[in-house]
Amino acid sequence: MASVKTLNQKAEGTIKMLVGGAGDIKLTKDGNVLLREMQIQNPTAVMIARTAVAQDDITGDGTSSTVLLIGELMKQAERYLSEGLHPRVLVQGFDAAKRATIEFLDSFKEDCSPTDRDMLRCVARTSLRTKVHQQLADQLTDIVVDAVLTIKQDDEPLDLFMVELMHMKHQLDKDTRLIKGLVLDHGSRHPDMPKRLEDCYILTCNVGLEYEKSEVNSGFFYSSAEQREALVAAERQVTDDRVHKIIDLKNQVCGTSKKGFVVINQKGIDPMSLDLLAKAGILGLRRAKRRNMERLTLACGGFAINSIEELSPDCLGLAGAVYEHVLGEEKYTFVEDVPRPHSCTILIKGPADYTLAQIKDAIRDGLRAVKNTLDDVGVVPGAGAFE
Amino acid sequence: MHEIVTVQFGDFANYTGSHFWNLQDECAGAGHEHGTAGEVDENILHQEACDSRGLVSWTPRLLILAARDSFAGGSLTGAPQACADSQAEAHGQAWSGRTQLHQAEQVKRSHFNELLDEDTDTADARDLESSGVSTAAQASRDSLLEEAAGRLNHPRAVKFWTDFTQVLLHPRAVVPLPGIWHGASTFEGFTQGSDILTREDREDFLDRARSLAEACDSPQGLQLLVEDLGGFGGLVADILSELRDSTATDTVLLFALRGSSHGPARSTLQGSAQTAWQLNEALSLAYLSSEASVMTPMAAPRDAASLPGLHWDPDQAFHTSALCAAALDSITHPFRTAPSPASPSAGPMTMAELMQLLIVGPAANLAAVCGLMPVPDLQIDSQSQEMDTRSSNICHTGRAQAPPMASWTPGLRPACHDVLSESAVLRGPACGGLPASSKSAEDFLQTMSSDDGSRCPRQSFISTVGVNIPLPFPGIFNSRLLSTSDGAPGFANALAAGDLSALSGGSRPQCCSKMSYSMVTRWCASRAFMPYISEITMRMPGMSGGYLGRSILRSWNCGEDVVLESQEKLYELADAYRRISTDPYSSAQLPANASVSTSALAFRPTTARVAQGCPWQ
Repeated sequence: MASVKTLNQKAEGTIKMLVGGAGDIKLTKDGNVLLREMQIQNPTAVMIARTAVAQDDITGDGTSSTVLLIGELMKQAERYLSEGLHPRVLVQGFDAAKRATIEFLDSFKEDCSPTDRDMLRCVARTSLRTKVHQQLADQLTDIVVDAVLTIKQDDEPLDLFMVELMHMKHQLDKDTRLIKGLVLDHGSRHPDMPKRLEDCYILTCNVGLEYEKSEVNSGFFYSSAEQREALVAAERQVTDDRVHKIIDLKNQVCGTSKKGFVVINQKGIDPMSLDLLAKAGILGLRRAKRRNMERLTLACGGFAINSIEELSPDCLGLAGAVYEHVLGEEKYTFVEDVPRPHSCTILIKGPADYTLAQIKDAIRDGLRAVKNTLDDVGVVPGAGAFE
Repeated sequence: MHEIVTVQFGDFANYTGSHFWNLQDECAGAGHEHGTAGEVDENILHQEACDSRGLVSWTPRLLILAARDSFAGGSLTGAPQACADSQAEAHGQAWSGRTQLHQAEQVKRSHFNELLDEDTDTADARDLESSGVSTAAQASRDSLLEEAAGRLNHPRAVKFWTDFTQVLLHPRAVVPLPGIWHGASTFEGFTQGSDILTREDREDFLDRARSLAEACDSPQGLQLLVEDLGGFGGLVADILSELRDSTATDTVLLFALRGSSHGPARSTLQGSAQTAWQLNEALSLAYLSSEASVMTPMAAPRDAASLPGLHWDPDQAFHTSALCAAALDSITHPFRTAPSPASPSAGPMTMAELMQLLIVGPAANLAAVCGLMPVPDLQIDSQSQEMDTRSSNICHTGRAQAPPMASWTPGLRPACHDVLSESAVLRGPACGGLPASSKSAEDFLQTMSSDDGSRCPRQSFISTVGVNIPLPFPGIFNSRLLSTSDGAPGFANALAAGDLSALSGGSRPQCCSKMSYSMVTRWCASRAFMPYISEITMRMPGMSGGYLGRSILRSWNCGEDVVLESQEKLYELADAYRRISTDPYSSAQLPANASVSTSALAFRPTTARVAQGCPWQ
């Protein structure tokens, strides 16, 4: 294992292309990923692999280094063991070394203030250059540092989930960019809904806007088709009422101005409700990801409502521009120019799935590295940086 | 409207799924040919997909979770399988250094798949050139395909579930599970499934499910095909609530598919395999029944004699999964039909209606399946009824002897007695050699369901069209009982060569394309689950506490609290069914095992700790 990792370490080292039995391709240098792909049977090896996973969980990077270090330590230890030293003594020695190393690191580290952008760029570049080629790494460095600084809030711990990584497969376009706002990977499902809205209100909600059969219908008896139709119409009325309340709110806040209105629903919106919304000039998105709902409220303001009774002008957020972008059969919705951009999206573009995955892994590692710097408020020069 | 999203977990579930989608494909194809297209609404299970060449096709609304090397990639999506050389030059975009290539042994596609691809390609080429093609060439291609399909019948010919798939899947439909190296053991324990997905894989899976659901206008719910006796069962138990959340659907029908109904598939004499199987069974019943809306355990019928029209090999997953798929296809048929004025006795049903039908009490959400395949001729039935009333004094007058049904539910024998409510589906019945009239079909259903003397709410669905057999279906039929797809029975009219030998159980491969079979199924909620659950509940403490059980659970990293919690859940389930069984207003008799259920209460643990969140992490 250690020998594989040595090759992995250097910036000019080889990247591994793994082709699976079904023809799927993965390009990676991430030690964690490689370990998952290897068939490991030896229980000691399994334990070492678990260490690497733990390293990945806590720090996000440095898995290859961990394995290398363990490999070397074990080689050294074996020499002593073959001379007859009791393993217990070795373990105590390791403990002592660990304490000493931590003390040394604490005294040796250089302070890094969170506003030192250059230092953060260096950290990011070190991490990225071992994962992708130089030019791309430099391009991504700025993106990564800007992303972390954007989501940084003074009084709260850094939550990297607020940086969304969205990928678009595009044959020619290779520009990865940072968007101070959100990109949703779905769009409106009605042809008449507006494709671009400016200066709009955003309503985030978790309200069912699709026809649901009522739970209790044992008391209903119908003896003709007309009665059944009336029953269905009455059940339909519930959903229609909800949609009409949303339309009323839109008319109330937008009035005659050109402001737009966007509804982003975590539950579904059925075709009849979509029709009503489209006629009122409202853009509606259904079945949004839960995390996107949280990000939206963070970015645009307002709060998500869980029932239609909570509707009020206070729950609305604002966005400068909401527009959709169609790529093949995929539709994306961009929400930009938001008042409080405490969440952002990195849009990764590339020609193939494995390229996208590779860049995504690299960016993730870079983000973790910068986050750790800000958390620890210190850096130790060295490691792979000099290459 | 009323779309259904299907998710498959596990190898046996994928085998069943392949057969299931082949059946749908065949039904749609035959429907277009014979003008019965109006009956089934394809939009419910399939969606339009636009592939890279700009061609629009129907692909299933499907998400599959499969172990990484258990399928051959190119056969799924029609895209050419990646060639390492072409990719090697392409990789240079993101990395300028050297590349080291590690290529796993490519999973070989089956001959059938390759022929199918050639066929599709030539068909496309033909369309593009719009030139005439000789029927001889077409016929020779067809016979090659038939031969390849027939060869799939050989005992070890089918190795992967993609070997016999004739439908194209969306490229994003399959989520491969990453390498499993956590321990030296395989993915066999129920509790091993929960931490197999990394956070990113989990999110990726939930995202794909979400986008499938988002494409639906007004989904009925989710249909899960799960191989529950193993790691995949644990994975489903872990991820199901998040799946419900991300797809914003509440109705989940879970079909727990098993390769065998009573023990490990290859019943060796190792005690540990049997114990492991039983532990899995208990854990699955405990955790999955509480997570799903309706849980239907299914396995191919145990007795070969219960289905006299078929002969199959219980050791081959290709055969047993075909039987499960046929039953699955029939019981879910009412979900897919559009209401039509032509067949007034047919009633489409939504998942929500089924839930209201089959859930007979709080937490009592298990369902059993029994049926017959193919259905014997209805006229013979009524003739025998006349004979009985004339000749003997013992038989009841006015009641025909219904043929005994085969049970697709593991653990319940005889099939479907003590029924509380059911959904019955009858497709393609024949009466005196001709397609049966709706009246005689209804009568047949009536006699079939009332043979145990109890009355229960029943939703029935009758269709005159039989089930068309897809090309790669295993040759399990005694073909005298098949009929051609336009309804005429095929008594004398058999296939070309090789099928008379099938009657005598000969091993020559046979192909049943362009034929159809008739099927009747009953999907019911039944009190008969009570003894089944009681047995498992009483067995669990002893099994998990014994030496074998403890060592197995330890190898699965299953802690004490998981075992305790599963016992709690089993007691709750048993309680729920006991309450139904002792309901004073029910008209049927109490089961004779009421004493068993009360003694089970004596084992209730006094200290009950309910673990929060995912218990085995």
